[in-house]
Amino acid sequence: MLDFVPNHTAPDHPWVKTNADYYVEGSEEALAAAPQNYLRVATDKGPKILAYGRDPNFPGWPDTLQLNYANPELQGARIEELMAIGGKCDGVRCDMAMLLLPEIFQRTWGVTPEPFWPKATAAVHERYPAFIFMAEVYWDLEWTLQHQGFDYCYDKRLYDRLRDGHAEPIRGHLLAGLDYQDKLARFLENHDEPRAASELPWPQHQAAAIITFLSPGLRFFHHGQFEGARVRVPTHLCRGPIEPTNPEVAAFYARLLQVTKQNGTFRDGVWSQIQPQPAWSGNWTSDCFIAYAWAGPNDSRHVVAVNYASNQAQCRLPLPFPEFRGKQVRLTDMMGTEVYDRDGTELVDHGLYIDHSPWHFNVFRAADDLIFAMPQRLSVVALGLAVAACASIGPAAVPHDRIDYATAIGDSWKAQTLLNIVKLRYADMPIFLEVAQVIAGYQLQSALTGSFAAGNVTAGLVGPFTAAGTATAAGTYTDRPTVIYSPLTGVDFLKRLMTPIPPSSVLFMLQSGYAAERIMPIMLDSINGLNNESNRLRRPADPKFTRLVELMREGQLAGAIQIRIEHPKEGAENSVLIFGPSKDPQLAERGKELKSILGIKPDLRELKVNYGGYSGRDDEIDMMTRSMLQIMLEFAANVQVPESDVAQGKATPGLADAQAVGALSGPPLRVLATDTPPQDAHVAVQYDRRWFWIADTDIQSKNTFGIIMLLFSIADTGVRGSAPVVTIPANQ
Amino acid sequence: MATIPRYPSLFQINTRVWLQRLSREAGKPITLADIDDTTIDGFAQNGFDWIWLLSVWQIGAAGRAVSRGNPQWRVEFEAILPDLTEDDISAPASRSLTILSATRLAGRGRWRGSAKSWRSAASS
Repeated sequence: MLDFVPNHTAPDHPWVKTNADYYVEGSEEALAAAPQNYLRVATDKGPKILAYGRDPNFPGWPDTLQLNYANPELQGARIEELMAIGGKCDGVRCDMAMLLLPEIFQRTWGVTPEPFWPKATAAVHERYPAFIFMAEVYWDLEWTLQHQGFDYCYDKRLYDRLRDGHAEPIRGHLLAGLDYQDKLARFLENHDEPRAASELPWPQHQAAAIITFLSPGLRFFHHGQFEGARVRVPTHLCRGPIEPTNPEVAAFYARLLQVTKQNGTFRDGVWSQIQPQPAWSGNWTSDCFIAYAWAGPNDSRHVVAVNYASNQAQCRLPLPFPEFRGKQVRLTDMMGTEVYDRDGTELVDHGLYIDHSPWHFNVFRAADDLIFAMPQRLSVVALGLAVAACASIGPAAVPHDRIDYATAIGDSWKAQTLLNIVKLRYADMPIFLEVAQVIAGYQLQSALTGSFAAGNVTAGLVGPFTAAGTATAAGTYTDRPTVIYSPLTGVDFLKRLMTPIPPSSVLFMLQSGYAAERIMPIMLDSINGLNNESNRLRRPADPKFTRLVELMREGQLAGAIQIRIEHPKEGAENSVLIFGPSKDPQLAERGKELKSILGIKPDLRELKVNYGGYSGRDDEIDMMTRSMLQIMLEFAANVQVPESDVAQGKATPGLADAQAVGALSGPPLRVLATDTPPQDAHVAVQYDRRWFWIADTDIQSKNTFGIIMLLFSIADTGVRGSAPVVTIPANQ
Repeated sequence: MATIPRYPSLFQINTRVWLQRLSREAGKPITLADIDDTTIDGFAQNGFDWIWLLSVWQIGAAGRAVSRGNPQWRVEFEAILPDLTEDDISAPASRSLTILSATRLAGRGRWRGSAKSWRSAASS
């Protein structure tokens, strides 16, 4: 797309000499009265006074001369130019396009030209049908110019209202018909406006970008906007200042572009505005929201929700997706990390409940194909409600809720763990969402008193995850839990996933009775220089390691191995492994063998256990333990990935199936892959259109998987409080 | 030209500033003709359907003189570029600046260029 400046030319344009009548001519009187608006020039027909280009409101632009559109020959010459440009590019951006409108031209120059744009756009489109005309236009003349052939008009009004920072006028603007909005060019900056990064505080900038670039119309971005440039460079300058890229701005726009691009819905789908409803009677903050619904092909549904205010705000957004009724719907924020499961009927009939901090926004993908759904039976709570309006439901709910929530959270943890193991095999980033808090909320509806909701307002979204059952003829009882997820990132991610499990945990597990032949091959990478087997590195176990594990198991069974934790003054704790004295000669023999394998003095009874590589000392044990990530990578190599995925380069090659099951001495984890959902699975997840699962009848794999789950709890080094917290309101 | 979606994306580039920066980075004059396919493909990969090349038209001597001589503008320019030189104001990006269009964007078109320089209005 190139510039087309219709209103004026440079003062040394060839036409000044050859076709002076193409320009608005002044007079000595006009020059004397307004010297800032006129210029003496030499033409082929002698000296003349021509007008500087200008609009009706401001002094002339001294580097331009005004073209006279009341001259039909000039109009013809300009159309010829447009035709020539039409052969060279895909479109033009027409500078100050409204200045040529007959009524505007009349106001500025006192003469009324024939309408130029209908003729010009028609002529160019006849020859180049796909050619794009974009108008820089102000003064509410967008509609007029659209009807004179423009494909897109600057939407300065949205921009101005976003800068003002009030949601209500923005919603009003977005109420316009799509025939109008589809032809608006929506921007947050361009070369005529200040840089968005300097004009808007960052939280508001992001919210404004979401509103602007996920609305209908042409998404119009500016050079430097993605880097957070703060200095506007006028067109007169050929050089701009060197500004550092703002990584936060860059990351935001990269994600926004990814979202708008990858998703056909935002490019070809159907947009509609959602009118936010008060979250409860008298709560005016619903007025702060701007919300959109997008529907695309293949049931693609999206919800955009922005709190465009500097205050916390709540609302309900009734989703215009009746097909969600009766289904579970998962809302996944494509611009953030929030994930919510909601009841579809509730979303449609009552609306998605939103509680947002200032300028907070979501771009939700809404889908009913849940990968790991909360079980429906959460809501099946048998309550003998005698009086609908004042029954105490708390104590009765505890026995059911506690078990149901625990099962649900446990199941989703399992699915998440398995999914991450599979993802690692496909070289995908493991994501962990922790259930940080569950707030059960009950709603009681009575024929007499209407409904009242539990006061479960928290940060984030509060969910209408509703499954209702009729408790008595008089009332309806509904469970609406709020589930708050917090993603495992940063320091937490590092500590929980990438820090090796402390050797003391290995010893505790052994002490607790977990079999050495399970624990050691999973948790250890090496011990005193003896390598464990590694699926990932295709490294077989040192035979001595295998023997060591056997001996440990025997010692475990005989009660000959004990552990003591010492707290020396320096603070760091020491684990000490104790080989108890044995009168059984066979056991004493085993103890000797064990010590000889580990390379330690035969007469030592107590051994310090350290983390790290082998020091070569004969009085301590050095364990290289694995981190959770390493453990998952080890098992990822075992996942039964279809050959074709490996061949296509989608997944990394793993161990051949036969070898994985047969030849390995380590604990098995058989993860099966099928195209259809499994019938009898201990845990199943969907990834890349396939189902990956562990059979319920595969006790060995279930056992191993259970240990992995347990290790996750052990790997929690106490960064956070113990989660999740389940809050069950009682006595409403 | 590839199919344009209902809601396309446009990226506006301040061409002269862009080429000046690329030239400085490359240590030699860069013109639109030097912009390689990778750059163009990069625009397409970011989801842009059109690139608007602002200010590719050649600037005449008169416009340049006005731009350089206006004292008010000068103050603004110096605020933006403390080390402002005459060459920073309204200089043509390069003598070989040509009008090219980025129709290759959707992956099918090609740079459809013309060696002819278009002389038109300087200001926008």
